[in-house]
Amino acid sequence: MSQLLEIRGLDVRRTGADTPIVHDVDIAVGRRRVVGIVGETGAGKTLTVRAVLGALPNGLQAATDSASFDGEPVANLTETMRGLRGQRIGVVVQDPLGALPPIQSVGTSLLTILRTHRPMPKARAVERIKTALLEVGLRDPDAVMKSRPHELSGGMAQRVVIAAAFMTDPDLIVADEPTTALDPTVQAQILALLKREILARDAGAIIITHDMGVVAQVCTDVVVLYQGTVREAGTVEQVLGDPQDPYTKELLAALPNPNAFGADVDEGVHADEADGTEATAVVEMRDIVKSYGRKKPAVLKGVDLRVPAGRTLAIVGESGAGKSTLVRALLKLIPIDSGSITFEGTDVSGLSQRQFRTSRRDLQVVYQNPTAALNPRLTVRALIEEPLRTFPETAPTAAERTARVEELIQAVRLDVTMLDRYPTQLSGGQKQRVAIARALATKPAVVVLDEPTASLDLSVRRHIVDLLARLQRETGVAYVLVSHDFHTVRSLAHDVVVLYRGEVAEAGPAGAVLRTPTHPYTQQLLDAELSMVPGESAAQLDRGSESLVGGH
Amino acid sequence: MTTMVKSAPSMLRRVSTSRSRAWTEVVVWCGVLVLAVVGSFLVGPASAAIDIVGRPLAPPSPEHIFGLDAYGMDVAVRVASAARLDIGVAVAAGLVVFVIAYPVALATGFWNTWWTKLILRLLDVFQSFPSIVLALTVVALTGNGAGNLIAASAFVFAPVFVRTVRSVVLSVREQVFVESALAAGVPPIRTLIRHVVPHTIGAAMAQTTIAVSRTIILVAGLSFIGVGIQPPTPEWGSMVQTGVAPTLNGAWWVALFPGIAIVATVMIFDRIGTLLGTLSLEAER
Repeated sequence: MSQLLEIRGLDVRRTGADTPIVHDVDIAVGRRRVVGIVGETGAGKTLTVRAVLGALPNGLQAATDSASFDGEPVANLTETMRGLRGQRIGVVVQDPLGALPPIQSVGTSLLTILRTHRPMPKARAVERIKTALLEVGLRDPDAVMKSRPHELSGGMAQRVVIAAAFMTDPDLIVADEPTTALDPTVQAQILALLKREILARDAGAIIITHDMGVVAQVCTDVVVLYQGTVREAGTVEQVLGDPQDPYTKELLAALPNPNAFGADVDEGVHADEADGTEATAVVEMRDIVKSYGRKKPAVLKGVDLRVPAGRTLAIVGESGAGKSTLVRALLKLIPIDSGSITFEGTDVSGLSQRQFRTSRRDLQVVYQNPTAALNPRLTVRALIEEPLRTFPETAPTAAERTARVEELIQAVRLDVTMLDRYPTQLSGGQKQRVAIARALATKPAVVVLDEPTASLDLSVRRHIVDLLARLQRETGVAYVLVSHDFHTVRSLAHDVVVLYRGEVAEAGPAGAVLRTPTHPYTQQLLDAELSMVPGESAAQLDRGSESLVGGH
Repeated sequence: MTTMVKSAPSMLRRVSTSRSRAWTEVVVWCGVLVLAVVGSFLVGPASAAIDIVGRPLAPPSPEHIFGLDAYGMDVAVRVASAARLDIGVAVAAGLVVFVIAYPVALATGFWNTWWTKLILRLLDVFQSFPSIVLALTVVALTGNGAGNLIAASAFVFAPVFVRTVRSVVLSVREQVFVESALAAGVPPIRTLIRHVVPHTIGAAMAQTTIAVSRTIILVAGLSFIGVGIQPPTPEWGSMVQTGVAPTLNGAWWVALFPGIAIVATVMIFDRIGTLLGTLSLEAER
């Protein structure tokens, strides 16, 4: 059967360099086939696809042994693909807001795109865009077209970008991490939508992802990339069902597996489930109300939570549920409208920043993205030392400080030689370890973990989660964990608070909430978790697409 | 992940070669400026510049390569001799701007309270006047010595500096590592010094250089219209002014050479400013 796109022996190299960054990659996409390209950050996924699109960054060039598109041989990949892009190839980008110019309405942007590739009268173009927006489940295309990109939610913006890719009726769709930036509930809907549109139009697709769950869910074929070369390729059933390559196996092992949940509980982390209510609370928040601006609706509408000493409270919910606002209020980085915050038995809600500062020794934070949270101008040593210098009583002399820093870097399983490096010289996982060491430097009673694994590769996530669990056992620190990654939540949380639209939908011991959720929203969140086994979540996908058709 | 580690050194090297080239250029241009100032002392004492050495408006010749002006003073000696005054006043004004306006930019960018708004509204008032009008007012009120010119220039260019550098401070203030330091309990002032200053000092230096080059134009302009440095003290702007009438009579050398000196100096400072700006932007990546 002739393929829609067939590329053999793709090399990408820096102009003038000998060693290719991407080497000998074969890609074949047929109609009604969805090829997933998976691998970690730096594996060459994006470069491969950009080479296929003829859109490599300056200074990089692609070469192939052979290439063809829809049966026609392609001599010059870059030139040909540049011509096909937008015409017969539709592109779905990872960051929809980056793809839509912020200064013009969505309608204006879409009109420009459509009429560049398919010259037609404006009235017809508008009709076509409206149809495309309706097809991706946006029920009010007129309103969407009038809005500016920032007025759309993440899911809506991603739908607009998908509509933009499909409105020219392309034969091939290329999607770069189309759902990474989205909430799990929205993710499932967007993936279902993508798959449905691809099948409905008899098109082919390439999807880049680092998430094997996505592969299991929408792909028919998969190419596993590692350090720029293909480690394993084949149909999803072959590769996921019977992986041959050790790296593929590792990627699959790193997947959140809902069935492993029971095992985690038995491991002892949650063995003391019953003690939670009796342990003294280190942080208590009561009836927290917060809105940004007087006329805006409240983001938090009377939230209560309680963090027992030495235990982990997980706050889950989709973005916009108020998770970040809640922890920022807890950290006293933003003022609250009403409610009370008790920290180590003292009411701190009324304290000024200056008065509260000394308490920060016992309340530290690890951010989602260590690259942003670590000042790139400081060495690892200076970064870990900073809290110690801030609270000199924790390590009064230079010698004690050095000793403590070395103790901390070893506690997070990094080498002492790392201390004199700068954050840019470390990998994402290493940076997050440094951030954790920094947060633990003053021996705090509570550490807020704000999506501590979200920016990390799957295989690294597990190590960070293990590290956090071990450090809690060793130091007795309490965690407030914000996450939408249920694997992280399952592995760490003793108690769970489910936030939904600024209110606590459900709260209780982790096992009870996650195993037998009572609130429909918790149920939906758990459902949205992508299943591992190919086809298993088909029912869930169908449900997703039905709710789309219903315009949910 | 290994690919990332592997490519990191080569990337660093690529950036650092272009960075070191830019730094070399900065050093070269600063060297040229230092030479100009040193040279202005080498041509002789201040009195040498007002010596009458020959027939008025004698054209350029081997002994007097830039010719003589309407009083018979050597244009070459005067152009060289004026460098220390023009460059000196401008650099001094730049330093005053940096010392006063950088802390203001840091404070107004870092904190957002009533006094931030007050300072910003005050700056709006000053910025609403054209710079030459504002400088004229200051000079009219205080007199036209070199010190007053420095003060007037600093007064005129500080608001622009605060506005520009404050916008950089604002963006750094939003960085997670700043919130991270505050959340870790680092006092605000120390956070400002350790986390905000290193990321804004480059922009501040670039803005200082721009203030210096604008001061050269302002001082020359004030002297040209007669309210700045007074003749016979050698100063480029006033020399251009004394050259206007001779130029109309064909003695082009009197105004041309100080004019070239002004243009060249301004271009050099602007180039340094551009280089520093690019360097600080690149360091942020």
